[in-house]
Amino acid sequence: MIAIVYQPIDVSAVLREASHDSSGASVLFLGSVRDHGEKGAVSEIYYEAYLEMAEDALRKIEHYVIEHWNLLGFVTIQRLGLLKVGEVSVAIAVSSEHRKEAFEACSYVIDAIKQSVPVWKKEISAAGSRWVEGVMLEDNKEDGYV
Amino acid sequence: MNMAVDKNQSVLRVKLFGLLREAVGINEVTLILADECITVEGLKRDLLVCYPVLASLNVPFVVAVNRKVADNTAKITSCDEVALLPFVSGG
Repeated sequence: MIAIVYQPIDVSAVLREASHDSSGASVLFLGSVRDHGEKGAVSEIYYEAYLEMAEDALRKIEHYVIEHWNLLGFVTIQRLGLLKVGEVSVAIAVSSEHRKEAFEACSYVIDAIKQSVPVWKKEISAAGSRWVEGVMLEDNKEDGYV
Repeated sequence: MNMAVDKNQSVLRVKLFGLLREAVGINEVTLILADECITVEGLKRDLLVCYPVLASLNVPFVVAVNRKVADNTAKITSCDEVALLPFVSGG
């Protein structure tokens, strides 16, 4: 399942939701707000999204990784709004029969999110704020993103 | 931008995000289409004229049509869902 939310992410629930009785491996990735960026100190990050398009992109990633790595469980949640240092902005949990597939799939998902999901973030500090320069969205490839 | 609309003209609504939204100060701008449709390239040109702040930003962006990134030759009508997307930085 995928979701885009404004409230804090319950990471235990994410891991639990992705678990499966037939899986021998689960991998959880948490992206969080750090206290610095390329331009200096950061106190908060504001996240916004083109919600409908972002949900479509996350669903496409979900379908791809489940099929490509034969996943038994998949949960990805992106949080929006104003987040303080240390808060979780994205949580990804996958489960599979063996660990190799789970590690690879989880790594792929976060890379794909950064390249194909319309989410923007603005770093905020005492000195001001700046929109983080990421990548330009491109036409989605049929067989994956990365 | 408020402009009188002729009955034969149609109004295209364009969503803005990130620094483009912040610079213009609103979530959505409108453009009166002189013809039934406009290309993505034409849309970019007209928007930069109607909203000079977008031109002054001088940042790259792509155009999404019906939630898919469209190339410059794609045609848009007032029925389409259109958005300007600056560089993304999710995760």
